[in-house]
Amino acid sequence: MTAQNLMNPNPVTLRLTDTVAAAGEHIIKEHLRHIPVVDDQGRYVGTFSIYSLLQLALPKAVTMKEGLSNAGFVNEQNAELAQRLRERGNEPVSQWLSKDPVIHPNSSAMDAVLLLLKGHVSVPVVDKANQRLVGMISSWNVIEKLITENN
Amino acid sequence: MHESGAAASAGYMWLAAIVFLITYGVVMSEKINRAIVALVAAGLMIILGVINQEQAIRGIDFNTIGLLIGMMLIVAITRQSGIFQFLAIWSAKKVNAHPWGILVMISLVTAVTSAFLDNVTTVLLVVPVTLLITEELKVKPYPYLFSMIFSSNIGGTATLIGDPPNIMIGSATGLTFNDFAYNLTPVILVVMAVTLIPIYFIWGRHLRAAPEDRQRVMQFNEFEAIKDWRLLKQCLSVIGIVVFGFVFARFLHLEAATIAIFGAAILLLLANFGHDPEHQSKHVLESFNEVEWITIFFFVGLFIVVHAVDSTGLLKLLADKMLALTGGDLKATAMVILWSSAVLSAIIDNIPFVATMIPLIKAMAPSFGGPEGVMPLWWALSLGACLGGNGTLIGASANLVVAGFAERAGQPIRFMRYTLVAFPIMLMSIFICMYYLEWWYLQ
Repeated sequence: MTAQNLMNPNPVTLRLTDTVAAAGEHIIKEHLRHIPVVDDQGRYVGTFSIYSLLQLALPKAVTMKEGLSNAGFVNEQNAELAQRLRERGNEPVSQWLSKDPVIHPNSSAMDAVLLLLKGHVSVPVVDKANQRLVGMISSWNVIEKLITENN
Repeated sequence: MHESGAAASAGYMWLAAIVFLITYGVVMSEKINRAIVALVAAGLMIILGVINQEQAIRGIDFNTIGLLIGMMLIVAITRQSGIFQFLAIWSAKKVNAHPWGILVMISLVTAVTSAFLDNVTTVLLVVPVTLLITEELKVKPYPYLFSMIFSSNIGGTATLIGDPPNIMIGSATGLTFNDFAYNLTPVILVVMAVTLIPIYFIWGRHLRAAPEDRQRVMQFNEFEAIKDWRLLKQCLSVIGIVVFGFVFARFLHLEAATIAIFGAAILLLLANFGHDPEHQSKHVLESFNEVEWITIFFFVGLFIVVHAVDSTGLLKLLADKMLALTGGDLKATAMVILWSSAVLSAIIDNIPFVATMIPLIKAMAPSFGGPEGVMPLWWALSLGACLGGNGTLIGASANLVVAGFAERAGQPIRFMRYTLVAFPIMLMSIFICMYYLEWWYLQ
């Protein structure tokens, strides 16, 4: 079995110029944690995640590298967190991408499962030659496929 | 026989000088880790026969090494308590979250903390709180970060344990904590106050924050910043005892390294008391990992390199040249040391510079009537080397740490923009020191 057999070939994707607010709508509507982001040629450039949204709701001083490890002294209410997230809603997703490890369509299924086991919620499947995103593999895809195989 | 001995000695002098200059050059280029450079150079000094291993070990100032390790361990444990964040928030609230008041208070907290603890750790822990406060107040963090760089280096100059150059000078000369406090703290208070004047006129008078944003800062609960009250009490007690030890070191007949290492050991004992051995091992290892081993081994290598150069008579030769240049005048010599160390420390690492200057000044002592006579020269070296670090962004490690935070906060501190303002302010602080030295020691 290869990665191609396990992947969802029609994942939801974002463009580099899409806004954080638009990404948030997709995440809530589709119950997604990670959305791959592609450029104009459909090449994979990174992943926008629900964690980026959480990060945007907090002050930079808390989320930055070597930032505050304890922010319990900040008495912020939900409304203030929401306002901060709203204020940054027009920023493009391109500023908040993480670069996840990718696999290729003909990589072994074992490699894909190992990546998922290492804590990656979903793994982008990218064409080796042109770097285009051809699908996404999530733990759900794998389990669904394996259970169907047994039946 | 005598001639060949002299030739060999001159040969070693040249050899040591070449290794020394290459070491300086490579450290300045920052292409290779400075600890590696210093250790390779130290090894070369032994392998090439400039000194032997026994002499190399004698050249290492274990008092400096011990003091640095001890204080690094105490800071590593203390930082876990949240005291630094507490102080920053508490001070901001004391001025009703007024933007300029916060700048002054955060600068003072940074300066006082840097006087007793390592500058890099101080800024590492105070800068994130400052960025949070400026974010809440919707004011630009640049003036705050600029002022914190200055405060950390100015505060560090005030005491024996505030900055590595002072630790090295104190250890090499036997000058105590009290000597540093008595001779340097008064001028440092003036320098700190005067430094805030240009900062006020350039940025401070324009700082404004909306009342609702100030209110948000006033709602911070500084007591929530304390993560572990028990640990905090232990840390403050040990720091108190260590400072007491430094103040009364002469009466107690104790060296600074003994006090610091013993303090660190007591704090480790208290922090781990009652925990199972596995937890203790993990916790002790975590604390040891916080020691900046790169700095420690850089010091070890550097001490050997400088000792090797010194043993060839080169530094004595340079001291004589410098005395000839200044006509053997103490005032002129002090001024040359003050200004050259300030300007050079703004560009190069002040640690190797001070390590080189120490034997050089010692060699001048007989010309000025012994160790007492060169006392102003030690203060000139300390003030120049520590305050000079403010001149450029690469002048001190704390500057680079603050710049790193600024970059991550999206408010980068550019080298030239910083230097154009910082260098004149640094020169102003050296002017103050120059008049202080003249008035107090050189009349």
